[in-house]
Amino acid sequence: MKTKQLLTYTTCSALALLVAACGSPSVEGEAGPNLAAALPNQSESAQGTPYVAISDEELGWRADVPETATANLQVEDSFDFATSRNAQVDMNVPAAASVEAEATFCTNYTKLPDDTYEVDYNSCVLQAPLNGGVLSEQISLVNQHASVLAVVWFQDESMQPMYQEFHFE
Amino acid sequence: MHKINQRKAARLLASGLFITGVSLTPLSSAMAQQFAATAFSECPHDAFLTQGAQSRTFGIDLVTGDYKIEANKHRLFNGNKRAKNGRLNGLGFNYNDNFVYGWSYRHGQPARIHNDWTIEPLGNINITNNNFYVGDVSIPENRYYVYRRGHRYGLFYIDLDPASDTYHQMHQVVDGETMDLRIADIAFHPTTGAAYAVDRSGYLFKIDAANGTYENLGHTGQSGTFGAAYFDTYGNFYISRNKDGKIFRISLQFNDGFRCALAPITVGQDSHVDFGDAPDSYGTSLATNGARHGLPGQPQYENVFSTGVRLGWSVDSEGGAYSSPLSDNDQGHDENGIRFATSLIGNRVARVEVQAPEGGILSIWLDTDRNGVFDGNDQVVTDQVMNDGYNLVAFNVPAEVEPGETWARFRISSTAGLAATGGAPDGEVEDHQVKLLPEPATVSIYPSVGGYSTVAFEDNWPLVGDYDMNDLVAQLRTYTYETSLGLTRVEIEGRIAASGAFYRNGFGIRLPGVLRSAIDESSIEYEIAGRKIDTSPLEAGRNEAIFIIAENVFEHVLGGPGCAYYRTQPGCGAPMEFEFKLSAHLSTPQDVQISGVFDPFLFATPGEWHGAHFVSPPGRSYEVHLKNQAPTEAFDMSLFAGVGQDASDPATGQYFVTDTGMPWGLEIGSEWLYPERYD
Repeated sequence: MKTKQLLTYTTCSALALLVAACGSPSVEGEAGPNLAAALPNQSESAQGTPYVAISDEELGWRADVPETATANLQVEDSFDFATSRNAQVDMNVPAAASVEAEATFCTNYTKLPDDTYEVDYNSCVLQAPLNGGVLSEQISLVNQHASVLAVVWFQDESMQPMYQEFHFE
Repeated sequence: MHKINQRKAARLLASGLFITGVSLTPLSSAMAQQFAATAFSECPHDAFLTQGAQSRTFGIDLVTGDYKIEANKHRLFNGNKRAKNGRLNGLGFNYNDNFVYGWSYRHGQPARIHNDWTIEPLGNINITNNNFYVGDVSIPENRYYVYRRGHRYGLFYIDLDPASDTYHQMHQVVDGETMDLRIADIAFHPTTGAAYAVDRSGYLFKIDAANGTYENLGHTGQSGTFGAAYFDTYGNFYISRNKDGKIFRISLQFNDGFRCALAPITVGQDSHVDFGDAPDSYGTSLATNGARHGLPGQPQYENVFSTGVRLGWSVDSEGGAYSSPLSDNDQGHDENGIRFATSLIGNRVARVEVQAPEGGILSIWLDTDRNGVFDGNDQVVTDQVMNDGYNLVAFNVPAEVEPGETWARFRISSTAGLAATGGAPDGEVEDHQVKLLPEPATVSIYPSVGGYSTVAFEDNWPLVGDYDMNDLVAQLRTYTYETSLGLTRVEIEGRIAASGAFYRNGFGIRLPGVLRSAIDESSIEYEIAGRKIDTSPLEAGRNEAIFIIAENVFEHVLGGPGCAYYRTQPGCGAPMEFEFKLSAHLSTPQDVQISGVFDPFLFATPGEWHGAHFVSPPGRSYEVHLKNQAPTEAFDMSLFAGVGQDASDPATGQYFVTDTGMPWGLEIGSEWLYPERYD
C-alpha cells in the first residue's frame, strides 16, 4: 500500500509540474476526485452505443484509486498541454546574396570570446538553404528553448561560417 | 664440459626425461628451475613475426594488426654470457609441447625457442648443408617441416615426438625439384594437417607434406612474395606480402610469421579493440575483415578508453562488432565524435564536426548509391590530418546519390592509408546512419537531431482509471522535407519506451492534413529494430494518411519472465527493443504545414478485449489521442457518448478530455521518465 501511494504521488507531481510549466490551471480545493462517476446504466444510454452498463463495483479496481490522484487538477478545456510552439525566423545575409549558402539552426550553443560559437550539432532543429541570402522559416521548438543559433555555411569552402542568434519570448 | 652438460640437460628436457633429470648432479637447482620454465606456459593468443638480419620477434594482434616487440634480440641458448644474437626463420608453434620451432641461421640447425626467446638448437641434426627459411609445425604429426626450392634442397621434417624412435631426427620427404614451389612461407591447417602456401605468382597450393605432392587450388588475385602465412582455428588462411606489407585476410605487416594455430582468434570482452556498427555488408565484423582498431593503453573504467587517437572523448572496446541492427551506438562512448553540421546533398559541400582529442589521420566513406558496401567513389575524405580538439571537415558529396538512408564510416588512426575495412593498430571507427538528399531542401527536425519527444497514453478512456499515463509510452523524432513547392517527404524515428497496459494496444501516427493518396506508397521504407518490414505501414482503406506502427505493441516487446508489463516494473524489459524508422515521399509536394510529433495515437488491437464496458472488442474503432486532437476516420464517433469521465465534445473541438480538462494522452518534449506502474 505504501508503494501505491508513492507511485501515485510520483504521477501526480510529474503531471502537476508539467501543468505548472505549461500554464495556470485551476485546482479544486478539497473537492474529491471524480473517479467514481458511474458508467451509464443500461436503461439510460448504453443502448445503441458500443458500451454496456456496468457498475463501479463491478469495475472494483476503479474504486480503489486514492484521493491524491491527478484528477484533482482542473484545467481549461482549451488548454492543450502543448509542449512546443512554432517560432518564426527571418534572415537576410548579404554575403550570401550571390553565392550558395545554407543555415543550420541549433538550440544548444555557447558563445566564445572570439565571437564564434561552440555548437552542439545534435541540438539542431532546422537545416535550410538561403535563397539569395534570404531565409524565412518556422521552427517547431520545444517550449524549454528560448533561443536558437543560426550557422550560415557557404558552398565556397574559403568563406567562414557566419552566426546569428534568435531569441523568443 | 659445463656447456656440454647444459646441452645434455636441454636435450633431456626436450626428450621428456626432465622429471628423472633432477638427479643430474651437474645442474644446480636454480638452473633446473630455469629449464623448467623454458616452454611457453600456454599457446600465446597473438601471432608472431620475426624479421631482420638480427632477428626481432613481434607479437601481433591478428584482430587489429597492432604489435609489440616480444624479443628485441634472440640470445643463443648456450649459457655463454657473451652470447651473440641469433637469426631465425621458418617459425611455427608446437601446441604439443608449447615450444616455438624455427631455423637458426647461426647454428645452421633447426631450433626451438624458449619462453624467454632464447634459441636452443636441436643438435647437429641438419642432414643438409643449407639453411631454410620456409617452415612450420604440423601439429597432428608433431613434426617441424622446412622447405627450400631447388635440386640441392627439398622438403624435410624434424620429428618432435619424444616418444618416437626418430625424435629430433631430420628426414627428407622429397627433393626441391620434384616439389617445385616458389614460396616464402608455409602454414599447416590446424586440424587436417594439410599445408598451404601461396607462390610468387599468387597461386594457392595445397601440399601433402607426407609425400611432397601438391595441388594448385587457383589464383588468389594477388602476387608477390608472401613471406608470412598463418591459419586460425577456423581454417582461415592469412598471408602477408613482403613488398608492401599488405596482409590479406588479416592485417600483419612483417616478414616471417607463425602463430598458435589452435589458439582461436577471438576478441574477449576485456579486449582492447573497437569495431564499427554498420551492417556487416560494409565489412564490420571480424569475420568480414571489418574495420577495427586497437586501443593502446588501459581503460579509464570497465571497457571505456579515453586516451590515444580517437573520435570523441571516449571509445569503448568491444568483444566483437555489434553490426546494425544490433549496434551499440547508443551506449554513449561509441558514436560520440562526429556531428553533422549540414545536410548531405548530392553535388554539394557537406560539413561535419570531428572531435579528435589527440589528433590523428581521418578518412571518411559514404555509401552514396546505398548498395550496402563502401566501393567506387564512396571515399569522400582521404587521410586528412586532424588537429587536437574539434575540427571542421568539409567534403564534396558526389553528384549521383541515391536519396534516402545510408551509412557513413569515419576512421581515425595514427596510420595513413586505411581502407574502409581491415585492422589498424590504434584509433577508432565510427559508423553513422545518415540521410542523402538529392537537392537542397528545408529539413525540420523535431525535437532535435539528437533528441526525442515522449508521448504517453492512458488506455482506459473513457474512464480515468489508474491514470498512470504509461499504458503506451513512445519516444518520437520527426523530419519534414520541404522545397519551394511544399512538403515532399516525412520521416519518423521512434521507439516504444514502455507499455504498462493490461489491454492490448496498437500505436499509430496520422499525418494531419495529408491524404493517403498523396503518399507515394512505393517509396515507403519501414524498419523495426533495424530490419526492413515488407508490409506497408500506410493503413489501407483510408482517405487520411495514417501509419500503423504496430497493431499490437506486445507482439514486439517482452517484459520477461514473471512480467505482465514492459518497462514499467523493475526488471521487466530493460532495453528498448522496439525501435522503428519510417520514411515516405509524397507523390507531389503538398502545401500543408505539419510539425512536431504529427498526430500519434493509441488504438485497441482488433479482436482483443478492451474492458467489460464494451459490448465487443472495439478494435480499430477505439483511439486515444492527445488532448483536443480529433480522432481519425477509423474512430467510432458513437464512443463520444459522455461515458465515464470523458467530456469530449466534437461540436466544440474538444476531444479526449476529462470533465476536469485533463488529457488521456500527453506529449513531453524530451525523453520523459514516465511513472512506474500503479496497481
